[in-house]
Amino acid sequence: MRKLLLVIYFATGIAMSVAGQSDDIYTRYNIYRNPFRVFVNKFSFTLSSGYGLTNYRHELEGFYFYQDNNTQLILSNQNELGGIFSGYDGWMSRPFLAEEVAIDDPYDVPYDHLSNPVNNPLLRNRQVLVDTDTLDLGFSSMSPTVPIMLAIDYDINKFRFGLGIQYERHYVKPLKPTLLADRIRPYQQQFEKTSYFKYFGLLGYQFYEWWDYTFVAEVQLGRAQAGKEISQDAIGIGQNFFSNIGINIEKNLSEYFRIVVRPSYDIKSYVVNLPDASSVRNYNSAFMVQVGVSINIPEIPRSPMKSDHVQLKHVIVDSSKGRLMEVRGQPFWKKQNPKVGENHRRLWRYKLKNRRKIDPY
Amino acid sequence: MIGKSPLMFFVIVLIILSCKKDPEIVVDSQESELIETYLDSAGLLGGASQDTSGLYFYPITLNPSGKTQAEGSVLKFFYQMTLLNGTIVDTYDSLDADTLMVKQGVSAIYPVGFDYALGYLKEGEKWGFVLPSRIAFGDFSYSTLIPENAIIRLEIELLEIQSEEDILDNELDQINTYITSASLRDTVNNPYNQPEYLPSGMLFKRLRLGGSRRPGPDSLITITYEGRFFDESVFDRVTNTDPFEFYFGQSQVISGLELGIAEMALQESALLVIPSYLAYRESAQVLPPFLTEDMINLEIIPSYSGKVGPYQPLIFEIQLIGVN
Repeated sequence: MRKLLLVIYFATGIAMSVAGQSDDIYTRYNIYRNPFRVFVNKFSFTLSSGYGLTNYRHELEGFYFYQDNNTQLILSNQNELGGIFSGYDGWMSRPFLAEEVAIDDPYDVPYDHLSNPVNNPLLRNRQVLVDTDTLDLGFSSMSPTVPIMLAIDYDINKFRFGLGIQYERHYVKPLKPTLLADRIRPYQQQFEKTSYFKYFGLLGYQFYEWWDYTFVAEVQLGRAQAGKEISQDAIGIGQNFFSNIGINIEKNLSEYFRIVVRPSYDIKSYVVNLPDASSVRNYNSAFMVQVGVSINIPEIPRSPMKSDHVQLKHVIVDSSKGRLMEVRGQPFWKKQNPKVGENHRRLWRYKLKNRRKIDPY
Repeated sequence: MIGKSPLMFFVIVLIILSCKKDPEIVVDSQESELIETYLDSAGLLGGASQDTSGLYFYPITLNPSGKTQAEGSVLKFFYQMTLLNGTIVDTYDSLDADTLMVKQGVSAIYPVGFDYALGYLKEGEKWGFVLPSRIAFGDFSYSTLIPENAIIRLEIELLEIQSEEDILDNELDQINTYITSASLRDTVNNPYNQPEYLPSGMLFKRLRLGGSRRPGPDSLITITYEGRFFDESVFDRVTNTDPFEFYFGQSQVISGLELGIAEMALQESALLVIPSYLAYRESAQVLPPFLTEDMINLEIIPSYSGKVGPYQPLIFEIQLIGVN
């Protein structure tokens, strides 16, 4: 089924590109253009990278949260609490049953007395036990993220359809408690770095144009595969879906080349199942800004003649084949049909060297 | 200018930042000004001195021939705590039932400036003190009575200097009195054995006989108990629904409790009368006392000090219900 859809997709593309040529100048004057290049030209290739902040957070609903000087544990509050707390750690990535701890206050009667009791450091961060039914305790951190994205999309009218992959490196910071910050330490997750590998389909709509800028709303839907730091065995089935909403702001430097700035919001989460069948949903949505380049492979080649200094797209005779063919007079990153001076702006690269001149160019 | 020489800009910023004073020092110097203005207006500035902790002190009544403190002295005193504007925070004087008691110099009293202040007094003397907020309550506030960063004025009258041996003698007297008042030697009401003093100095009285199993090293002990003072008021209780567990011989609990349980067998009940040196000794106290719960919650003093004051002998009536 998937293959069939792919075939229809490409066939439609070719048909449309051929149809586009049928009643135009190329047909009328029999000007040759390579049909493969004409077809490939419809695809944009975008490579971008940038910086983001991933908000790792979770709410501990339905749990007891326990903390002492050494550990932080959770246990479903369906359990009866006795004098011993037998809870789980690693609820963000690789849950495990931790050592049992006695949950009495070690400085209450009848525990032993403490020498130099006032402001004794041993008193700090002693046991905290919270039932999250009475206090909405959660943890959250903003973690720097570096994404690298490669996407291919097919442009038809103002719509874009495409596929892409994205690799993300997350530098995860300890998660701060959402309340009782004076008593509860940040949660130190088991991993400091992890990665995500995403592959997705994308749908875009070009909703605004302004001078040589194009604004495209884009949605990405697909699979986000966490790195090995987050145990796949602990994650529930079907927890790898993600969606991303972004705006591509494209500065069109030429018909084939543009610089893209893409602010986007990434929505994803995963459920970690604890061994006692309770579970914690970990959210890790992110805001990212990516900067990159997007190119279309030109549908016509550069002029093969060294002596050909024509600046615009033009038609030459292909002497080997004896037919007319259209060629470019500009490299792909420059405006293809420039007005006078457009591609020969004053040499701003000399601005620094000439900075002491009256007109420093 | 900034555009032309960003380096110069950064240097200037760095110089400005490095010139900024430590905020704590700024607060200290502001408070010192306030305190000295106050002392001046009260005509006390001439006789007042300041020590390295920032505490201002001046004598009110001197007693040059009075007994001086030794290391580990236990002090009995009255005091009055006020703010600089005259608001009385707390007073403890001869109208109150007992004198206050504290072991000086072992961090057994909060605020810490109180501990420093007590060190200046001889027996029979009365001194005045002004505590900058740093050695008083810091940024803690209590209702409208104590604002944040309050400067505290203290007047302390030192009534008596005792050694811990004096305290112990007094406790042993109290224990003997209790034996009589509670009829512990009455074998009709308390049949199993006479109360006995263990070598450690605590009193042990079996109330019910049990089996033969006894606690050994690292046994997991399960007990229920009721803890009382000599006036029969209960300070702590653990019942069958949530018994108390601990590992024997690991100094987890006060030594008086371990020594008493060492004499017991499974299913026995016993009465332990534990002098303070086998229990919570000088404990920790907060003045004014109504701040004790707050200070426990702020993890400044241990929880037991909210139940047991300084040098209080404890009575534990214990049932040993588990030895594993």
